[in-house]
Parts: sequence; C-alpha cells; structure tokens
Amino acid sequence: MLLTAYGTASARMLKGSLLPPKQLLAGKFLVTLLLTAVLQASATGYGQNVSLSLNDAPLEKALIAIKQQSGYHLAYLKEWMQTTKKVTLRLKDVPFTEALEACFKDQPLTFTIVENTIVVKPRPAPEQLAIQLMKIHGIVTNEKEEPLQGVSVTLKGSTARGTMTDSTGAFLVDASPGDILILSSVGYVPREIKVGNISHFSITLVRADKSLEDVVIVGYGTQQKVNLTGAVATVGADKLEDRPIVSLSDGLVGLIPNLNVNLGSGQPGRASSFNIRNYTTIGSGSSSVPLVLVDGVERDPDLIDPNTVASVTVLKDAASAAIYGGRAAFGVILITTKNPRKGTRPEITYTGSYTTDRPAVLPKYLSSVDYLTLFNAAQQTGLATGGTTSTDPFTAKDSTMIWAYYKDPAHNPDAYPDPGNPSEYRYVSNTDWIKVMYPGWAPMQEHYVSLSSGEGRTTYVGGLGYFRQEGLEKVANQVYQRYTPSLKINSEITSWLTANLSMSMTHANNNQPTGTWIGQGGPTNGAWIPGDLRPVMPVYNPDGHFSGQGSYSNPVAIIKESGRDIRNINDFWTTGRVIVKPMNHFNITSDFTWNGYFQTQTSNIIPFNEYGVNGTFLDIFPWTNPSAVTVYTAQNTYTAFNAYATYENTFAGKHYVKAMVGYNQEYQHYNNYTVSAKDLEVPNLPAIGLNNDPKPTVTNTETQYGLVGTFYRLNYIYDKRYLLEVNGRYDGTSRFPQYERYVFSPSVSAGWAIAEERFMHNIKSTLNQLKLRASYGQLPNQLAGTTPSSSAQYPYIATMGSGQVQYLMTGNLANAVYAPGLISPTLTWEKVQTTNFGVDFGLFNNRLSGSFDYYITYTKDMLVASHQLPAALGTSAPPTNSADLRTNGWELSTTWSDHLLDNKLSYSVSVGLADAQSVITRYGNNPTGYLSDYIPGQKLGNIWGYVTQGFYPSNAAAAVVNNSALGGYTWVAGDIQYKDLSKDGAITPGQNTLSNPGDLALIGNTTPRYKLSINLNVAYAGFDFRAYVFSVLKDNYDPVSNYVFGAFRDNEWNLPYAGTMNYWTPTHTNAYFPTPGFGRSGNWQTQTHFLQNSAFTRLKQLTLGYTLPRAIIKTWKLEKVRVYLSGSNLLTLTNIYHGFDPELVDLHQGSYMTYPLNRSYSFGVQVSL
Amino acid sequence: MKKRYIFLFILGTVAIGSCKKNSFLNLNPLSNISPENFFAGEADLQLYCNQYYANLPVQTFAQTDDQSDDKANITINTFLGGNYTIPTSAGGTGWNFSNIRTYNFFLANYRKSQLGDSIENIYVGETLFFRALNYFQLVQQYGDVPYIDQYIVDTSVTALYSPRIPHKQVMDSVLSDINFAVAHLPAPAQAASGRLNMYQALALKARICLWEGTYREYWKVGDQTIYLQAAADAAEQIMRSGLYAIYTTGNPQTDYYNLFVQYNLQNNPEAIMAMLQSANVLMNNDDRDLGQWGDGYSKAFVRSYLCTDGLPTALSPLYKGDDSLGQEIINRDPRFKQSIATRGFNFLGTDTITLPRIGTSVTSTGYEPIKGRTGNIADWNASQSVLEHFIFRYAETLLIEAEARAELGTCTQGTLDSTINKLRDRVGMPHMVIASLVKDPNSYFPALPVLIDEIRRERRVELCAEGFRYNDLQRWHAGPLINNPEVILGIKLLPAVRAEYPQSQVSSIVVNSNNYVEAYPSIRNLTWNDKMYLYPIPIEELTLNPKLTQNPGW
Repeated sequence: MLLTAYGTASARMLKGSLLPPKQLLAGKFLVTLLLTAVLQASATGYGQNVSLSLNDAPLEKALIAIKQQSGYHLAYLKEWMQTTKKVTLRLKDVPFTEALEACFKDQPLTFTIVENTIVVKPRPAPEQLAIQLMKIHGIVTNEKEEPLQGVSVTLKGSTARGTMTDSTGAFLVDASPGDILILSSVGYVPREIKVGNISHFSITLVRADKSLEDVVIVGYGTQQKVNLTGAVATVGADKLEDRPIVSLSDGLVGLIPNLNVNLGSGQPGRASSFNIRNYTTIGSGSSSVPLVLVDGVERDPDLIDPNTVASVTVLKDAASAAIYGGRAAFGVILITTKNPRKGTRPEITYTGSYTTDRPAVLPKYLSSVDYLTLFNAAQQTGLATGGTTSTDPFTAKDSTMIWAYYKDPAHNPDAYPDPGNPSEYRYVSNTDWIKVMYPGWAPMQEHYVSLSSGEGRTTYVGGLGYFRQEGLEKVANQVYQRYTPSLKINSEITSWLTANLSMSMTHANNNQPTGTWIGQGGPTNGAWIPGDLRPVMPVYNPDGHFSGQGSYSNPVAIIKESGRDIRNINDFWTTGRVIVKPMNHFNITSDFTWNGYFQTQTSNIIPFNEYGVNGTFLDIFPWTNPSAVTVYTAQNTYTAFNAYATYENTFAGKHYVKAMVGYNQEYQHYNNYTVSAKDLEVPNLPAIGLNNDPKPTVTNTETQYGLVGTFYRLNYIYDKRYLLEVNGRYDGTSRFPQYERYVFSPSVSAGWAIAEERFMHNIKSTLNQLKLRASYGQLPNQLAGTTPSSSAQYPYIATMGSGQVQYLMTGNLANAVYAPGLISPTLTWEKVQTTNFGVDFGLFNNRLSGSFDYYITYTKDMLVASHQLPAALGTSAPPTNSADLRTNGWELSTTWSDHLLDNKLSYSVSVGLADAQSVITRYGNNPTGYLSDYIPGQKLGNIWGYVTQGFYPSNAAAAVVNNSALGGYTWVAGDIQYKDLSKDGAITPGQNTLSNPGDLALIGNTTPRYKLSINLNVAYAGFDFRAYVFSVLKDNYDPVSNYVFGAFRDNEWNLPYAGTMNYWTPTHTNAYFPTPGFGRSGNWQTQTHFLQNSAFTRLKQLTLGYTLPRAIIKTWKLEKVRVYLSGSNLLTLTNIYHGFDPELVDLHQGSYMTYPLNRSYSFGVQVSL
Repeated sequence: MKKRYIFLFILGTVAIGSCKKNSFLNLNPLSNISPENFFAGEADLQLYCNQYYANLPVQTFAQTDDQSDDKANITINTFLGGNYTIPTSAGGTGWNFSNIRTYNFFLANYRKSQLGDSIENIYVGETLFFRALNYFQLVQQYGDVPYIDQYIVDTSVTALYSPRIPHKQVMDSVLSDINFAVAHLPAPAQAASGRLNMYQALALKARICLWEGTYREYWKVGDQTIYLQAAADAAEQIMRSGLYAIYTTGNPQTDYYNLFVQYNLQNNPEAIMAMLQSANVLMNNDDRDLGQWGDGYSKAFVRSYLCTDGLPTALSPLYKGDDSLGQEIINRDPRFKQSIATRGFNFLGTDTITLPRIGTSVTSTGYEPIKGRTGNIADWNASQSVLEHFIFRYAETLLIEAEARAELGTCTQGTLDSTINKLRDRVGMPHMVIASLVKDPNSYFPALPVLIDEIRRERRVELCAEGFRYNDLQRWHAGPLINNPEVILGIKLLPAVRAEYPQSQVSSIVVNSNNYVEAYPSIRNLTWNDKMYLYPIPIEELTLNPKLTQNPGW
C-alpha cells in the first residue's frame, strides 16, 4: 500500500521536474525515499527460486518476471531503463539472485537486495573503483544499545556504494579513507561518519523528534500531529512505563499541561478524578469531569492496568471534542491500549516492581506535658474571662502523674483509678498517636506479564497484571489488590477485511476495617487521625484492655476490633470490531462493546466494649452498636455500538481530503441493592442471613440511560500549508424530555503552517515548524451524573421519593411516599463554548519544540436555582438554565531534546506551564450579593476574610473594640486584633454582602495558579535517568475551618498539633497563635494571618534505570533486561503550615483529616525474551 | 460480491442509526414512583399519609423548656439571652412551609383514588389534623403568617406572594381543619394500629383552643369565648369517653417518676397518643441526651413546688428553707423529688448521687432533671433506648379542662375534682379546694384570681420539661416573668456544702451574694423584650415577597 503510494509519488515528481538523472541530490533523495518505503512495506516469505525464458527482452520485463516469481518487491526508476541493453536468458529453477546477476551482467545498472526488495541502482563509475577501497564494518544501535535494522548506509557524494544494516544492526561497505558515511533511518537523526583509517565502527543513532511523524489518536480515527488544528495533547507509553505507578491517574499527574489529576488521597483503592483546563460548572447535576474513553468506550481509568496503556490523548478544546457531542463538553481523554506490533516475533515481557511507601507529610504530635500546659492555659483564659471552661479539667494529681510518666515512663503508671468515680481511669500517659497509627512502611508491588506476537496475519497480545498495595495506616491493615487479565487478537482475514477482538477484566479487592468509616471516634472516610485524640490516653489500659472510655475514643481499638469492610469489583469488557476496506482510500469500522460491572461490598460492624478499671465493663462504644452487616451489590451493564466510515485521499498532490461520518449508540443499565441487618447471631460472622433483626432493610436503585449520536468530520489541507477541519455531531439523550432531547454541536478549526511557506524557506533549517491554529466550537452538556439515581438519570421526571418514617405502625417503621419536587418546564442542556488559539513550533532541527494555547471558554445556561422563591412555596425553586461563567486560560509546553558525546548521551527537558481562572458572568440567585454565594463578576475561589493587625497587647486594648459579632465573650490580651476597615469601632462581617462586607476584605483565592511541570530525561550508555517536578506557583488555603489547626477551636476536645505551642503570652508576644482558650471562635475567623500560601514545588518522581548490555544478556538468551530504582514525592518545597500537604489542600481537602499521600521508594525490573 | 454486501450492511446500519430514535431514548424510572400512577388505592393514601407521623410533637425532656423561666441550661438560651439575630434566609428556621406543601399535595390529588368519601375522608382527616398542627405552630412562632391552602406548581401564582394573614383568621382556618379531623377520624377501636383516631384529634383541638382562647383573652383581641368553650368541650369529650385515666399504682412517691420511664405506653391509660418504640426497630437517644446536655431547672421553677400541706413555701410552716438541696425537698410536693435528682438517685447502677452534680457537664444549676431518665445501662447506650414518650397525655387534657373552665368562669369544685385533684391524688398531695385557696404572697401572677393562679402553678409543676412553658407565657402575655433573676439561678451552695466537693470540680462555680449558683456568671438576669413574643421573619423572605412585614421590635 505504502510502497505504491510512495512509488507513485516519486515517479510523478521526477516526471514533472525533468531533473537530469545524474543529479546526485535528487538521486540520494530518491533512494532514501525508496528505502523508506521498502522498510515500511510488509513482507511475507515466498519461494526464492525462479525460472526465466526470455529472448532479447527489455531488462525491465526480466526484472518484473523475477519480482513476480520471487515474491520480492522491486524498486527502480523508469528513466534508468532507457540506457539498458536487452537480455536473453534461459534459466530453470535457479536462485533468484543468480537470475539477477545474469540480468545485470554488462548493464550500466546493478542491484542490491535489501530485506525483501530488489533495489536497482546505477553501477558505480570505473574510475572510482580505481581508488583503494577498504572494508568498513559497523554496528548501528539506538541509545538503549538495541540494534537498528534497515539503516541506510551511503557514501557522501555517491549513489552507488550503499547498503543497509541487517537484523543485528551490522553493515559492511567498501569505502576509502577520505569518504564520509551517511547513516539514515526513518525516525532517527541522520549521522555522518568520517572513515579515516578505522575499519570497525560502533555507531549510535538517536531518535529524531517525533512530532513530525507522530500519529495522534483523535475521536474515531487518527491524525498526523502536523495536521492537527485543535488543542490536543498526547503522551505515549514511554512516559508511563519504566516506573511504578499506582494507577493510570497517578501516572498522569503533571504529564500534560492543564490536565488536572485529583488523586483524592494516598489511601489504597481511592478513586481519582480528572479535570481539563480548570473547566468548571456550577450547574446542578453537572460536573466538569471530562469524558474518559478507553479504546473508544467510556470506562473507569483507575480500573485498567497502566502497563497496557499505549497512549493517552487529551482533547482540550471544543473543536477537538465536538465529535463526542453531549458528553464531551469538558474535554475528552482518549486512552488507547497496546496492540500487537505488526512484524514482531513472539515475545514475553515481564515487568515488576516492589515499593515501600511512607506518608509524604506527617504533622508532629503534641507531647503530654505540652498538651497539659496548653490545656491549663486555655482553662485559665476561660476562668479569667468568664468564658468557656473545661467540663473535665486536669486535677493537681493528674498534672503530677503526667509529669512523672513523661519523665520516667518505666517507673510510673500511665493511668490511675479516678477517685471521684472508681470504675474509670484517669489517663496520664504520653502517647504519640501518629507513631502508633503510622509507625513505618507499607509495601506495594506490581507484576505484569505479557505475551505478544506480530507474526503472520493473526496477531495477538495478552497480559496478566497483579497489583497489591497496603495502607499507610498500619493498624487498619488495609490491603488493596487488583488483577487485570487482558487479551487482544487481530486478524487480517483478507486484504479488505480485518477483525479484532479485545477482552479484559479487572478484579479488584479492597479489604479495610469498617472502623475507618463508622464515624465518630474512628478516623472518618479513611482519614488520617481524629482530632480529639489526647496524648494522655495510652493505647491500652493498665489491665490490658484497649483504652477508651466515655469521651475518650481509641481509634486503634475501633479499627482493630470493629469488623472489616471487604469490597470486590469485577469489571468485564469485551469489544468486537470489524474493519472493511471496500476500495482504496476508504474504510469502514464497526464495533460493539459489552461491559458488565459487578461489585459486592460487605461491611461488618462488631460491637466494641469499653472497659474501666480492672476490666469493669463500662459501655458499648455507641457507633459500633449493635452488630450489623451491610451488603451492597451493583450489577451494571453497558453496551456501546459504533460504526464509522472514513475516506482519505490526496488530489493533484496538493489537496488532501479526509472525510468521516459515523454513528454511536450507548445504553447503560444500573441495578444496585443494599441489604442491611442488625443484631447478628454471631457478631463477627458477617453472614447476612444469620441475624435476629426483625426488619432488615433493603434498598434498590435501578436506572438506565440511552444515548445516540451521528457525527462527521471533514479535513482539508491545501499544500500542507492551509489546514481546515469541520466537526459536528447530532446527539440524542434519554436525559431530557422529547422536545429538548436532540442537539447539534458544531465546530470548526483551522491552521496555517507558516514554516511551509515559500517565503520561510530561508530559515526553514532553523525554524522547522511553525503553525498557527484557531478553533471554535460549542458543545452541549447532557449533565454528567453517573451516580445511579433517578434524579441523575431522569432529571426531567419528578418522581415521588420513598423512605421509612421514624414512627411505628403495626410494630414496624412505616413506609412512606413523598411529594415530588418541582422541575423547571424549560429544562435543557448546558452549553460550553470554547475559542482556542494556538501555535506549534519546532526549532533547530526540532530540538526545541512546543506549543502554546490560549483559550476562552463560556459555560452557559448552567442549571441553577434561577432566583429565590418565598419559603411559602414549601420546596426548593426548580433549577433553571440561568447561570453563565467564563474561564480564561493558557498553557505552554516546550521540549528541548538533544544528544551529546557522539550521540552516546541523549537528554530532553520538557517544561509545561498552565493557568486558568473562572469568573461568574450571570447568576440570578443572589440578588443581595452574599459573599458566601456566587456573585456575577466575581472570580471563583475568592476568599473573603479579616485583615489581621496582631494580638491585643492588653485587656484594656481588647475591651475598646466591639468584637461581639465574632465571639460574644470577653476579649483579652493575646486575642487576635482585626483591622477595623469600616472604621466603626466594631469588627463585624457587615451584612456579609458585596455592598456591605463590614470589615471583610478579599484576601486570597483558592484557584491554583501557574501549574508548572518539569520533566528531565537523560540516557547514557545503558543508564537512563528521569526526574519529574510538579509545582503550583500561586495558591491559597484557608486552614481555620480545620479544627485541629489551632488550639481548641470548637471546644476542649479539639486537639491541636505540635506547632500550637507557639502561642501568645505576655512574654512571648511574637507568637503565631493567640492565647489559648476553649471555643474562642473569634480567633478562628478566616484572616490574613492564618491564610496559607499553599504554593509548592514537589519532586514527584526520580528514576534511575540501567539496561544491561546486549552482549551480556544475549548469553542469557534474553532480549532485554532493565532494572531501576525509583522514588516519588521525595522532596517538597512549600511555606504552608506544618503538617499540611499542599498537594492535598490544593484539592480543597483539610489535610489533617485526609489520608496522606505516599512517599515511596521502588525497585523494579523489566525483562523481555 | 461478499465485500459489497458487508459494505452495504454497514452503510445501512449507519443510515438507520442516524434516524431519531425515540423508542431507544424513551426511558422511564425503574425503581421510583411517578406521580401519574400514584394514589390508585387506599394503600397509596396510607403510604402517603404515613410521612406526616414524623411531625408529631413528641414530649422528650432534654433541652425542652430551655427557652423559658423553667430552666437555665448549660449554654444560655440564645433567644432569651438577647443573642438571637434575624436569620438571613429561611433555611433551618421555623419559617418553613414544606410540610404545608406536603399536605396540600395530598388534598390536590387524593381524589384520584376514587374510593369514595367514607374512606377518603379518613385520610383527609389525617392530613387536616397535621395541617392544623403545622399552622398552629407557625402562628405560635410568627403570629400572622401567609395561609397557603393550595398545591403550587406554577411559581408565579399570587398565593406564593400573599401577605401575612391575621392571626385570628389563620386560627379560624386551623379550627375548621381540626374540626374536620375530629369529625372524620375513626374511634380508637376502628383506627388501624398507630394511625390517628378522633380522641387524638380532640386532644390537639383542646390544646389549640386553650392556647388561642387565652391568647385572645390576655392580648385582648376578642372572640375568646368560642375557643375557650371549644377547649373545654373537647377535653370533656375525651373525659367522657371513659377510655383514659391518670396512671397510678398507689405509690405516690414513685408513680409520677415511673410514668415517664415506661417501656410500653400502648396500654397505659394516660396515653391518648404515645410514641412507641421497639428494640432494633425504632429506638432513641433521649436518656443519654438527658445525661449529657447539661440541663438544669431554675430556682424560679423550683419555688413553684407546694409543700405537702398544699400551701406555697411562703405560707407553709413545713418549709425548711433551701440551704441545701437535701433540705429544700423536705415536705415538698412529691413531684419535686420525682423530677429532680436528689441524694440516692442512682445512675447506671453504679453511680449514686450524693451531692448535686454541679461543676460537671451533667447539670448547670444543680437541679438536675430526671424526668424520663432511668438508671438503666440499656437506655444509656447510644440510640438504643426503647423508653416510650407521650404525644398526648391525659393529664394535659385535664389541665386544659380546668384552665378553660376557670377562664370561662365555670370552674366548680367538681371540675377541680375531676381534673387537678386526680393529678394530686397520684402524688399524694392534698386536693385543691376552691373555698380554701389562699393567694401566694410570692405569686408570679399577683393580679390574677387565685384559682387561675393556682391552676397555672399546677400546670407548670405537672407538665415540667414537656415543652409547654414558653407558649404558656406567650398566651398569658407573661413574658416579663423572664426578668426574674431567679430564672438563671440554681441551688444554694453554701461554703460548707462547697467544701464537700473535690476542689477542682467546683473551683469555677460562681455564686451570688446569697450563695445561689449563678448559671451564667457574667449576667445578673435575663432581660425581657416584647419582641421576644414572636420570632423575626428571615430577612431574605421580606425581599422575596415585598408584601411581608417584619414582626414588631425586630
């Protein structure tokens, strides 16, 4: 196919340009082209003996006969044939090379065999032969010392003495000392080698910048990167392989500018989410998540094995995403899994790594005596001011005992019976709960074996992956495991019909304690450490029972003793695809996918008893009582059908046309059950059938949605300079009423490849590529809600909810059906309009390349409560499509890659920088302008707060200011003094509105700005090194709502961490925190003093790998062996307050209560044979 | 040839697929109920009405009457403490009409069932019972309120933007709703288990009518007689039924306490309606709340207890003073000891009271409420208690009868004997005898006739912590009682008594010059403001509906 294409093109070019045959440049160009073509042609083995019987026939005829019989391709120029003599031959069943020798005898031409092609070439002139020649031997490899086959080796200034490297990368050529060898191969930077006196060479070729040749996956097809007109970014497997990653999302953090990955936390099995370009929406039922497609079907990227991923493409602007219509309003992520590589021999690859994880950021715990000091200081404040005092203060004996134990734990008790209540202990220990819960290292390992073959017409790749991660919270003993078998078979049944089948399955198992989510006492939601854990509580009572009584909850006990929560996910995917090529330039692809997603989650709650002195039973920990088991089952199925036809051709050499039209249909069915029974017959046997529950609860949600779409794309390129693309899609969804069901999404994009213009020819060698792009598109958003609920799947149908009333009828809770809510009669699609301007550039032989994009996105008609209605309505006002916002942003990505030291060292540096901000432009639901709600004209993420002036130096100074609006207690020396911006003698939030903000000011913004990523790759002599740094250069975090930030924010139980000891006293006025006190809410207002600069720079990844030399591994009968060491989250530079992880607060999660991210150290190995 | 077929097939699929596919896209909810198909039979009517029962006023005891002169709980009452600010939006406030919408939705749709009046009216009766209750509560809180009696779908209708309807007019509608419920709800024997019956409607009617009748009387807005008479009539109808009686086992020292720690009220003669509980099905946390929320009765309340001779402390020779709690209970109405923790009361089997638990998070004033509090560990376990509570208690009906008749001027000794004296018999207190009533020199209502004064005292003592007191002050126009400094005082803590405690426990207790515990040391007394009779309307509501006006003083 390709041979034909290139051959035709070359011949036509020659005919048209009347170049004299001796034009060496043209000749060289031609040969290169031909050889390129040959290399890309597919070869199959055929018989090599031929029989010829010719009388005075043209040479051409003889060669064609040999070509036909041998099965070899033939490459030559018609012009050369004019000078040849006719041949007469009588040969029977001789090797075809012998036949060729006979043909070329005494001809001005000669031939070589390259691979499976007979390459005809002019016979060298006799005078050149006179020069003394020597045999030059050489081996050509790439940077990784892998042999390169089919590299063209020619002599500069000669078209004659050329050759190609064989499968071991070796070549042999005749040359004289003054000659210069030119080595070239597609995808590699050509090299010139001066021969001199050396006869043996070892030559390394390095990969050329791939941007020119790269083919990028786009919606329903592929596109050459040079021809792209939209904002599309892509990463290949090379950026994901060669290092251990937890999930695909984890691997993608920071790889693509403006692809934001929210990892959620470091807990094993935690779901992550994506966002593109800070696209955002405030619409109800809507979320700005991009559409994630794996091999063309919507799928959870966290459930696929990262080892199977071949490439990830992000379609950022509306023009690129328009082909996916109503689901793609906030961009598309296309994940392609690896296909068998055509022409490769059977290969087994093993990849594995072992990692140990540690929390990336740990706050320090307060010692018992520090805590005692702080607590007593707070109590003193309460007593002195008539403010809140402790309900359970430390007694004098407590203090003595706490100090005694602190100084000499070996000889002093950590608890003693309460004189006032002899059945309970008073605790006087000194426990570092952080060390208790996160004592050390958690292991993680992954293994992946794949078997693939690209031989013959049926090719396949199969794999089996295993991943296991244990949680950092040691006491929880959480284990997450994932098994990922997959198989892909591709068969070229005939020249016009290809069929393939791809199947994969994910089995994930997450085993964690129920105590991580049962609420009070236990860390909630897998979180990290509760905020009411006092250091004076020991882990165990002196009598050996777990500690914890009444107000003291012991998370270790609850986690260890209260049962397990075991989740199993089975996710099956099967896709069958047929590709038909009924004629040249035209093909039709049709595929059908079935997915079954099955989940079972069994959570057992075992009552935990609290014991007092000498094992006196005190109470059952309320949140674990009674025993219970809850089984959640999901049985979801999904089918998708796609069919699309593509026509691609170039007319008159200058008019490239590609047209695609297709159809897509999807159907999702959710069926979920929850069964819950209390009072188990055997509390620690989570068998749902064995219970004494008079009325176990059963709930069920069954919903479905359907989607159909018809789409097209037209590409036109004139002379590689002017590019135009038009996309469109007509969508229908089950989520809207019939009259609003269908919507059209148009888009257009254009490009101008300036560097291809004639007037740029002079600098083309420097400025290799320069392309301007512009695009505009409008996408509707069908409301993303993927949670199975009636309101998400049928937003236009008001259903009557149902539930149980807390009232007994005939001995049981009464069931009830509720009135429906109100639905706007004008409910319709949200719309996202994006205008994008971009420039792509390549300089200095494409060593410097990159692109810059600027975009403006309007999210329109977001579904919000349009305007408030009087409460007399009795329900919330139906949301209408009545809010707009605008996002402006830009992203830059550049790469410099080059080679040093005779190509032995290659390196590249990629820098990505991105920024975006959103502004509300229409919002009718806040006429008063409340600062806590959206306000037109205001940026999203604005933080309003007080301006901190310092601490009140004296009680008298505090008494002068009226602070009653912030805290109705007596303000004293050491309380925070806010600036009286309104100059009315009182600190108030005014009406908390834009027009009357009182003393509030705009003090920050929570939108992370200027996200910078730097990737460094270096390879030398088998070693490879990779460093990846991710940075947010501007961001704010307001920690005051985090009740463990300061001391006793809400009450005496809020436990502060170590930094809190830096508090105000009359002798330490230069403190960070105010004077301690219980529930002194006035000090914990959002304010400038506590506002954190959460900008950070983090060394996300550092990998050092070594590929063993072939010479060694050949003796082990292996193809490739690479070992590596890798570390992630190794170093963080930030000014944020101690204990917060800036990468997590950036996602607006209170860090103390979030499971920490991992700092990990890994060893890995990759073996192929 | 084959090639062409496949080609045509796929092209055809594309073409067919491109057509609009409504059949594929018309998907309806699979596990939710659509309004079109509902109200098909009596079961549907019941299913819908069941939700109302969550709105019943259950008499729990923790933090009830906090907003009154009866209690001074550990945290000062925001409203009476003068710290209540006008809410900006209606969310989370009492200005909530969602249940009204629920009732109106039923009234707009129930006819679809086509079951006929006799069946339908039972459920219309339930609906109107709850709508009457809801508007009664709205009027108590806000005075004049918009009266919505239609189901609003079109959000531009004028009903949504109606002005506040005068209190009297709203209450007339409430009366007509509750009258319908009384007329159509079945007798207890005919009512399905747990569902409303006519006597429960009568109990609500009596409560509503007494409140409205006395309100009209003391606020001098006229037309009170019809309501006072209706209250008395409703109460008498219940009394005449013979179905209800005052619970007693003949033990005056324990019966009153025991009445509120019952595990089964279903067959209790005093329960006109009870909130039933069932192990593992419906349980509550009330016992634990009571032990954790730091409630405490006020000195002002405790003074109301008569001495065992039926005389107030100011007149009775039996009164021993209040130098300690132990002394204060001597010779007092047995309900004192059965409502307030005193020496010997045993919590959780191991935790016996020796000294009042001041200085702890258990009680603020030292008068620790034990009404509804057991010593049983099973009740203390979080949300595991099956203690049952009253919704309508017969004792209240008797007190309504006495008060309504006293206001009407028709209260005879016979009336008292069939009402208040039944309550006194249970606790072994001497009867109230009209002829020998003496005005208490320390009366909180010095201007009132002694009979009404003493009926009010009886009501305060009998119904303490049941949530009536603030609404009583409201209808009696008696807000200034809040100014009494004793409203925020607790027990007397003489230095000698203080010395009996561990120093750390009482070190932060502040007492006044007479050694009474100050619940809130920073203030001397609460200050009544007439605006406190009603709650303010949320600011946003006034903007959203310009016809609404704010309550006086806010």
